[in-house]
Amino acid sequence: MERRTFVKTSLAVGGTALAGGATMSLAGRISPAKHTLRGNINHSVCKWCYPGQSVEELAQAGKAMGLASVELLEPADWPTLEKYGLVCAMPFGPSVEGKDRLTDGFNTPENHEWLVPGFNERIREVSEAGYPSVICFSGNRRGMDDETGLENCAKGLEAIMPAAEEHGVTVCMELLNSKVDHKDYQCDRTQWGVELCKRVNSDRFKLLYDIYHMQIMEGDVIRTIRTYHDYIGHYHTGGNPGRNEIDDTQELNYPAIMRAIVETGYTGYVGQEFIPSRTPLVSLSEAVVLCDV
Amino acid sequence: MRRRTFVSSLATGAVAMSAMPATTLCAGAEQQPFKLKYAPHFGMFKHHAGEDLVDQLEFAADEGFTAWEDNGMKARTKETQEAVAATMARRGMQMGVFVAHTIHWNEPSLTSGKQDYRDMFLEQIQDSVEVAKRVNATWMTVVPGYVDLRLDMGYQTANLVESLKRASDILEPHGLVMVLEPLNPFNHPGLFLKKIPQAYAICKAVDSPACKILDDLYHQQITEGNLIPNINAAWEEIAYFQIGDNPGRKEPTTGEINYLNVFKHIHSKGFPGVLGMEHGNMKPGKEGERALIDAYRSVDSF
Repeated sequence: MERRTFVKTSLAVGGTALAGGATMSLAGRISPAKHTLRGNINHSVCKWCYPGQSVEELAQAGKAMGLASVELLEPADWPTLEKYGLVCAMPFGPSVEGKDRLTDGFNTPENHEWLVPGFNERIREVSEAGYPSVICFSGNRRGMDDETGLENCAKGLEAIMPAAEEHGVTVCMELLNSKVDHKDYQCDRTQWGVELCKRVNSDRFKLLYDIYHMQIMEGDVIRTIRTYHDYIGHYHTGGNPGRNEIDDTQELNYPAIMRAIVETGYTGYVGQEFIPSRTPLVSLSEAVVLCDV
Repeated sequence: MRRRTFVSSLATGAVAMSAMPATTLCAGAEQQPFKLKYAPHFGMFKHHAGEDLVDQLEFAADEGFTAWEDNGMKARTKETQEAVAATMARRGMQMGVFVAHTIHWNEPSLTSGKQDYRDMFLEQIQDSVEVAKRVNATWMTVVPGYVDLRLDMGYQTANLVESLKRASDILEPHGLVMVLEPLNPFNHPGLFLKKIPQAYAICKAVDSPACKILDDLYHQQITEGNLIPNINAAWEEIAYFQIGDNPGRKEPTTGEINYLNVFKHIHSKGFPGVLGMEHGNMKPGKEGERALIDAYRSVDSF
């Protein structure tokens, strides 16, 4: 039933695009979605999935389709969002030359030397901008066992929790798949992430539950969200297999998952992180409508 | 079908029409067969068709279902089995699985390698041949049972493979197939067979056309997710599917699986077999049965 409703709404958006033809501007094609949004989900989008759009173009188009945030951006891009009344719901953490912030993470004590001061500074910046969260990563295993990874991550994260708590910023570690996109990444299981949350023991450390990545690693998405939502601070989307659109071209029923998220009382953001295989901004507006339960 | 009707009505601006079920538009008429052989269970349509088994089959056939599944077929009387088979033959319906043997839910059996369990299993497989022939079934379900905590996984696997080879010797000459069903550890903690890759390895070791995988998409969504890539990876050993949305184990559209696309994928691979509807009805009564059929129409509209 829900799916039918979705088809109706998304076709209404697509239908406008067809009716408007080449003469209608892109903003005109995607803006109808704005009027259908229900306000239960705060919609966000990950910039890296739109290499053909500048931050400004994505912010402008996103605003028109009802997005509240463009995410995974550096501080230099934040003023652009401000122009459009948008936030960066999930900014990048710090980086240093010679290190990859995704594969070189909190699980390796040497990295704490740059991660701890870098995060303390970034947390302050995020707080000043009025944003809720900042992303972090475990890093790759490189032969490390689960327990050592937990101990190391907890130690590094505990060092930045005072700043996070003082400034009211939630540090979110992303769960990624280690089979297809990020081989050897350590934070690849919800159970492991939840155990890390319990050890860090602060409301300012949570998980970024990426639905696409966890469908590859685990499945059982809705039960996992219902069970562990207290430990989840942010959500990402993506179609499986392929990481493209999240509609009927892939194996998950996103409206049902979004309803489960809303039912947990979640007030954060949902970041669209699929790689558009069709017209990018039209795909984005369709995903927003699809997730607007 | 319905999706297309709906989409075209939308395109002409008749949005209000979209909510009307296709069944209302052609009440009384026989429905088009589904594109895939979805197999309902007895009891699923009892509010429409009553308690009589033949009536239930007739109702399902009228609704476009081309297969049926009955886990407990072996326990039915010979007369009932014959009556069901005759009705299905007349209506051109294909029989799905029945459960071939006693499943040991709480004690090690086939994994232990103990001769008495193996003998009992093989005897039951032998008995199943006659039943399969009587009801025109090709497939029968095998669940290898509980883990044997005293044995390393390697020995348990070898014990199971040996039993399955002997069972294949019985089934292969008759063209019958036992399908191994991995179950999820959330509902069934302690069972040996959990994952599709594990079942794949066992089928490769048994190396017989009589030993294949039953991929229950409900169980696999709970156990490992990644449904389509797992289907692709194990395709040559998968002979049978079962259906159920997660969470809740009800009909498609009631959970997190996008069955429209999963079925489209299975259909695109030319799957010739049956997909058993081993799930409950989301809503009670006649209304729930109609909603279930409507849900199957929507996910079959690829």
